[in-house]
Amino acid sequence: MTLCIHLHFTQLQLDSTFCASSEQPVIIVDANDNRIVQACGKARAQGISVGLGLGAAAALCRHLHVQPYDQLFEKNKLKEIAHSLYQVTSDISFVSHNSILLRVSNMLNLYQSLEAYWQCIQVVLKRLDVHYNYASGYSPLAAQLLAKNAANVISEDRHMLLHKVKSRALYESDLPHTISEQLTRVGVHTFEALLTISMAQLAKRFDAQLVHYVGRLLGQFKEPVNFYQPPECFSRYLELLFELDNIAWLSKPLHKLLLQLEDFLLSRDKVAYELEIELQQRDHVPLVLNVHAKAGEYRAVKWLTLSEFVLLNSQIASPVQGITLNAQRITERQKVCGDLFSQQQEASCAASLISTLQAKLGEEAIQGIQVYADHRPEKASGFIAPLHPCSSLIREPGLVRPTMLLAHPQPLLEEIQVQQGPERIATGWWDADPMIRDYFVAKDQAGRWLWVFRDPTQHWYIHGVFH
Amino acid sequence: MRYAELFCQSNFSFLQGASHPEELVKQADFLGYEAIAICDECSVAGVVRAHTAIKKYQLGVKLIIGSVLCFEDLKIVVICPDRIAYAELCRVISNARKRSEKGQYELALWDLMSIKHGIVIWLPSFTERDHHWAEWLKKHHGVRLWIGAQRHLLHNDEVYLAHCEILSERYSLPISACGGVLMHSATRQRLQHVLSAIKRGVCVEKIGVELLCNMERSLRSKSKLIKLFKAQWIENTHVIAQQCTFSLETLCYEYPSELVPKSKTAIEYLRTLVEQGKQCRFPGGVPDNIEKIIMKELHLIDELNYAHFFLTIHDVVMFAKQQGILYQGRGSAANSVVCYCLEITSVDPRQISVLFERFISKERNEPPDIDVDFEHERREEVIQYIYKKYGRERAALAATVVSYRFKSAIRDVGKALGIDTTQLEYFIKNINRRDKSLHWQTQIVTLGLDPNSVQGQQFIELVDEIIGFPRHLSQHVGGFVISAGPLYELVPVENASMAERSVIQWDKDDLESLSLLKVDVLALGMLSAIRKAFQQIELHLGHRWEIADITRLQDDAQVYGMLQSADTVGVFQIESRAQMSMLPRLKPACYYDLVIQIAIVRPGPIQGDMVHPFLKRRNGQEPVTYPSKEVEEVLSRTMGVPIFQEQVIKLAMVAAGFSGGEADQLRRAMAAWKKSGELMRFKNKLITGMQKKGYSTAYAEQIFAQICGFGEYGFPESHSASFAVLAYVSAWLKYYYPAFFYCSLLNSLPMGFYSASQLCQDAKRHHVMILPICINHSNYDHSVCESEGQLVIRLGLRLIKGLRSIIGKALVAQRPEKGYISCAQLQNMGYGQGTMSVLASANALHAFTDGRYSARWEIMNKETELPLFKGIDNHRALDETQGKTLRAPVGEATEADNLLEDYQAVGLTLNKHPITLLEESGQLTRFTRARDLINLQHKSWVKVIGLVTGKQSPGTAKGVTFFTLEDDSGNINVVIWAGTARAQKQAYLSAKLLEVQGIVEKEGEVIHVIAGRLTNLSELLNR
Repeated sequence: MTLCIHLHFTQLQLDSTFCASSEQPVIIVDANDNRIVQACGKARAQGISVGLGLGAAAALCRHLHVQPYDQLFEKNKLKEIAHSLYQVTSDISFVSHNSILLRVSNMLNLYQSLEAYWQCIQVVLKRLDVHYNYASGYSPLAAQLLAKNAANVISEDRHMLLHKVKSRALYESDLPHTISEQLTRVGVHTFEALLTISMAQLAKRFDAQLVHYVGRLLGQFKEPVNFYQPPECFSRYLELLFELDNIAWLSKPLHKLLLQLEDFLLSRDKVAYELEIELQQRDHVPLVLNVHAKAGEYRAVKWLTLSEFVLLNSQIASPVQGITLNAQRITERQKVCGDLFSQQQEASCAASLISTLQAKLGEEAIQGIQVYADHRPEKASGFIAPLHPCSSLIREPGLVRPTMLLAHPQPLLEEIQVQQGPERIATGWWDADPMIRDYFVAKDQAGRWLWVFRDPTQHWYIHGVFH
Repeated sequence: MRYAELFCQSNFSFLQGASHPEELVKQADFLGYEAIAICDECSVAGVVRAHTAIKKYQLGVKLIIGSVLCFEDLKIVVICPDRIAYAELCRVISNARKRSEKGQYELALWDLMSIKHGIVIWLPSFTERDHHWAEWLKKHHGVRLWIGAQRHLLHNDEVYLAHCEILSERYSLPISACGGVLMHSATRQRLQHVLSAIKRGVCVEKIGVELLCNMERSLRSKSKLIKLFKAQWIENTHVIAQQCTFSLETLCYEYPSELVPKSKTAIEYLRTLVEQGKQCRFPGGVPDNIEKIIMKELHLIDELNYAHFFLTIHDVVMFAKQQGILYQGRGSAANSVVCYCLEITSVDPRQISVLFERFISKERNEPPDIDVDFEHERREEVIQYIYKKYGRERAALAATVVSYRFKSAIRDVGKALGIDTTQLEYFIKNINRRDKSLHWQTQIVTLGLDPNSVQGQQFIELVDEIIGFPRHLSQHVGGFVISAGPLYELVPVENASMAERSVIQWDKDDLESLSLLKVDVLALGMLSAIRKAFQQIELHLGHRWEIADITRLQDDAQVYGMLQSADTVGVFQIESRAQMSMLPRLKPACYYDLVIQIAIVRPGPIQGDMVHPFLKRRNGQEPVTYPSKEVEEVLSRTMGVPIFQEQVIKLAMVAAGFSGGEADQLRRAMAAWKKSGELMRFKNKLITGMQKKGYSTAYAEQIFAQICGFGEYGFPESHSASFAVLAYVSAWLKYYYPAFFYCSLLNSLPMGFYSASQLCQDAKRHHVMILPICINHSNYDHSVCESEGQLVIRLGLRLIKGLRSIIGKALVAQRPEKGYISCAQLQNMGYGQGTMSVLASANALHAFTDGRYSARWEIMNKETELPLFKGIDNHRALDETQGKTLRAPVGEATEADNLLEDYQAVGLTLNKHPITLLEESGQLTRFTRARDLINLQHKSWVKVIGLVTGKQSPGTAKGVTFFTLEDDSGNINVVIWAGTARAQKQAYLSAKLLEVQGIVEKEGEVIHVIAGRLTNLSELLNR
């Protein structure tokens, strides 16, 4: 049986989000049921405990800093921890979003003793400044059970570890609630009691899940474990042989790096969506430039074109001494459909056009448009991010609206002839732009058809022109 | 210029109309409209309210009844020129409603064709189909057909109206203007938007163009209408309104005639029945004074033409009597000698001075009111009898209008404004509506709603506005309308949510406004309990009792002695905390004292400050005086203090000169006082009226204050008199047959104030032994049996949570003569895991297992279910051969385990009380028990601990909550002031086990603990 260590990080989000010097008590709340899942020391001192409702907590302490719980955040944080631990130990496995299992047995050859090994692990964790509970065990499940209940024991003594397991109550375990309830209902409250019952007796009365659980706990059944592999990323630095003070000259060295990237991506059949170009400037902080390819790209030529646009729009403060190229967001290449006229092709064309335009004009300069269901003309259409899917909206047939709507209504200064109306629009009380207007279709002296309105103060404005 | 609004929807077009019918008629009158047609969608539910408002405020506007109907892309308004057209509309609506689920409707083309008298106003849809419909409508409705032209200042008004004119010309149809009104005033636009959002289940912001784009669908001024419509179109509204002569006033109602034999008139037949009844009720001959009353009553019934009403009720109660269903009539007309003779009630007229006119009065012109309570478990039989006898065509339940209340308003308005649901739930959960001193708006601000934000303000205003808005129609608990002809010619009938039930579209107030009679068939748990007690007594002791037998025995001093000492757990009507604390003060000693006791401990008399004057006068501490002879007549039976609702009304008549009609209005204003504040209208009239008759202003003011206090809580003497009979009978049973009394109460749960656990505690205090549930001894129901020469209660299987009644009964029916001998036997008989497990949890298998754990261990063994092992009973032997024991592998359950499981599985324990257990295990510090409170000094400090079994914060006691704590010796009454509660919210709101430190208040035998410090000890229960 192999020895493992289970690390359970009790307040990963809290540990990674806030500095300890924060004056305000901080709590992390699960938005699904408004229960507190993590609370800092200051909050706990106010009587707030994990599991309490948000309302009750708010009643106990007025100035709480509340953060919604974010499991994904913890998962990412856990990956970082694994990455750090990977420097000192090999077999690391993620058990859940906040716990890690270390397989110890095959590391003992290297470290000679468990104590030495654990010493190393502790040093890494101390540096990361996270709260955790831990335990060793001769099965992953046993280690997990002890760690989750803060046994904080590291030992190779089988007998002692088993004794520790037996002293735990069933409700402290990960057993499904229904099973632990069933056990309680026949008077089995602890692992001590559970482990005295033979597997055969259990099998007769409980479903396979419990038997399986006990087997895994005792290490009799093997558990398949996936071990952590550090992720792949592309990051290269190119020291320039001589300093360059003309930004246009950077293309060549950059191209070199981009070709390396192309090789990297091609060999993995991947594309990158974003590059970070870091220019090391003499006596200045590095200048960081981001280049996007909406549709994903691996070709150096394409990236170079996009990068050149960005470079042209940037200014360096002092001569550049070196370039770092980081590829961000690397994913599998999407299979391009063979059909020449397919929509996918079109979309990727549009995406690359937008990437080009954004590189050249700046990101904010490119917008999409969208129609909204609102009676107020100003709110009936608006900008959205480019390529954002538009909701299809069917306009009322025959709706009288001008071809050109002025961005801001202009005061009406000339005489007009009203042709049609009024159409009264009086709505929008729920937001900051309520409106009461009577709209008319009118003709001005030059014969233009105008869309004009009168407000409650009897002032007249032009709001649009019909073609 | 004359204008009649012919198309107007009230908020009875649920989630469309944004104004009450009353508001619409008032506004129409204010704007000088000639008439207004309330045309809700496939409904006439709102019209009575409009009608009543016009009468009440004497408005000049004429009410037209109509309804808007949609069929495919056709939309028409049908309005009723006369009674025939109205009956026709009701029929069409009923048909459309009956084809569909509750709340929906489905018209058929045939329905539209069958309208032969109603005026049809067609609202063209502005599509090609209009030509088709124009021809079709013209063919079927000819000269009754109009085009309704609406103008709401939309972008296409001009083209739409031109389209209407083309239709008009081509098909020779006249055009009338109409408003398509959804709100009485433009200010309701926000609410209308919110209602639309609720209807679509999205927030206002997201609906977009489906919202009304302006406020034009409100009642608009005539000067504006002139600008919007052609003069002829406006004139045509007047032409149509002129044709409408139908008024709801003319609806009259005929009782079913089949109850009366052909040869007799109704009154003759009633006289015959009363004559027969006399023989049975007064076997020794009717005393002269009673005979006189009977004559007088019959005369009055004849004069007011109520004979059919009494006959109908007589028929229903006779059915109940035949079926052995216990019942008791109550209400204004029920306590008459005629009703006593007709066996509608058991109130013996010799015990109570019955003044029939007190209940029915010619001048008051209110319909007689008889409610009949039946055993709650068997009321359905009575309802089915009525449906069977009269058919669903002629009998239906009155509706109840379910309106927006605080919580639903917060939830729906909040959602419509896009406020997060969890936040709304948080508001709802944490706003303490019992806290009268802190308005909910203040509370919601402390809970985090920003009162200065636009959204926060809108939320508060809209919630206030929507409260009281009808949401849907539901069925009244038991108010039946039965008619001679088809009901759907009187009022539309629709499906109820319960299968095979139908409801009419009007509620009881509407029926009352139109003087339509209804028969109330209600359910009362205590009647079930009394019947069960009677049956058990007869079964075990051979004595047959009836309610009338017990009342005939006259007042029993022993029974009243028990009541005076407030020993009334389980006694009908006088078992509540408030009643119990009043009993030792009032010391009821006869039947009429009970009548007063029941009526006096009500919010009405308490708020009107009548309790203390009455007590003082009764105890001789204050002289009984009357300001005049007339007042003496009204108030003498309650020592000059008005206690009953009838007295207050009568007082207004004799002392302030109110006419019958005015007194009736006063009664209604009292009923709606909290909602409308209309009572203030009467203040002046009452006070000047009394001054004119020579009463002092102070006295008049006092009477008015009392009327206000009475408000909606006034309790009629007629109801109290009937309830007092049941209160007395149940007390009598408790005193003489305690085992049967508790047993039948337990068998009739849920009812009353107390849980099974509390009833069992009380039974034990009365030395009634209770035996636990046993698979081999219990019946399905709880039963009385003999044990060691004593009558004891054996708990029944019905108490077991999660055991279906059909299975429970089968377990008893299939029980072998010598009882069951093992779990396996039961399993082999086909009882599944679910059943076995609830039996084990309830410890019902203790006859052949060593308690719960071992029973469960045994039944969990899946081998028993395998075919090979089936039939092998003795599994112990089988396992022993393998050298293993089958007993649960761990020890016995502890007392605490058993206690928890008892509560979980059956809701009570017969073993030690939790308090005893906690004390024995040393977890409680020194405290005083309920039984020892009596030994403490008044105003002394005390610490009590108990389970929280009751929480009440009556509207009468501002800012006070009454807690009932139960320890192992009895109940403790704790008074918690709002300030105390607010400061210790957590313990106040969530404690199951509570420690209270406070001051003892003693007043005679009444003991309260005024809470100071509250400590939540609930944690101890979990250990």
